[in-house]
Amino acid sequence: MAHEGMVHALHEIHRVLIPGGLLADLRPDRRLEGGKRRRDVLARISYRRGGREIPVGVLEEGSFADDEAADRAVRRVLREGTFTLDSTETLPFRLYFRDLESAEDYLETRETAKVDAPTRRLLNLLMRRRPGGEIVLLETLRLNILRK
Amino acid sequence: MKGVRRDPEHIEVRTLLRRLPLAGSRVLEIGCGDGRLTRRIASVARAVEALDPDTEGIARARRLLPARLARKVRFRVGSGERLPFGGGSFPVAITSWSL
Repeated sequence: MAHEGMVHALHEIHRVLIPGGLLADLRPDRRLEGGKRRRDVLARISYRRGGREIPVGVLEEGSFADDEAADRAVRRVLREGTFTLDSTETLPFRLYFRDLESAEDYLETRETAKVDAPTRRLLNLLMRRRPGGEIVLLETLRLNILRK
Repeated sequence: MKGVRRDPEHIEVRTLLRRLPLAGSRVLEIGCGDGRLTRRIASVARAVEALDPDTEGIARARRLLPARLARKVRFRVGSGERLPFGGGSFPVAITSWSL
């Protein structure tokens, strides 16, 4: 959805909410991580077996254009007074895959995300040497609560 | 989607429950996908109207909806840009990964 479409959607949501109604805007967080922009990193990848989790690499995202447009749209409706911001927080979101094929099936739904070659090699190695585990994708989500 | 468990810890819905008056409310969810979050919300909400522009996603969401929630949830193909509801219809709306 383009920026103007997002602003229009926020106005539509404002219309269907009762006075004082709440909108939860939940989506991947692209803001800051340790003082640096969470640029290019969509998720952390690890391999989990028997309660132990081994960090493997990161999942990169080719484009953050939609997320940045969504941030701008939210800022705009706050600025114009359509909504007020009640709260903002981040939360972890984990996906567990039984194999690389399942992970890649999922990633096809996230158009621009990709597992780089070294990460893929390491995952394959771990799954051969320590079978029976799961691939874990850890993504950070942001929840904005907006009030009409 | 086979071979994947998404947020089995339910952190997402637990956070929403802490922040929103979902219990007993009529909830609008925009961008429901295959209804993963819808099913979790519907277990506490009075009713959920769930929209997504993806026809296949809505068909899958309908298939995956347990019979016990069928009276509470309505899935529709649609987007947030044109909501088929009257003004002041919902106390709570959620855009899940869709803004």
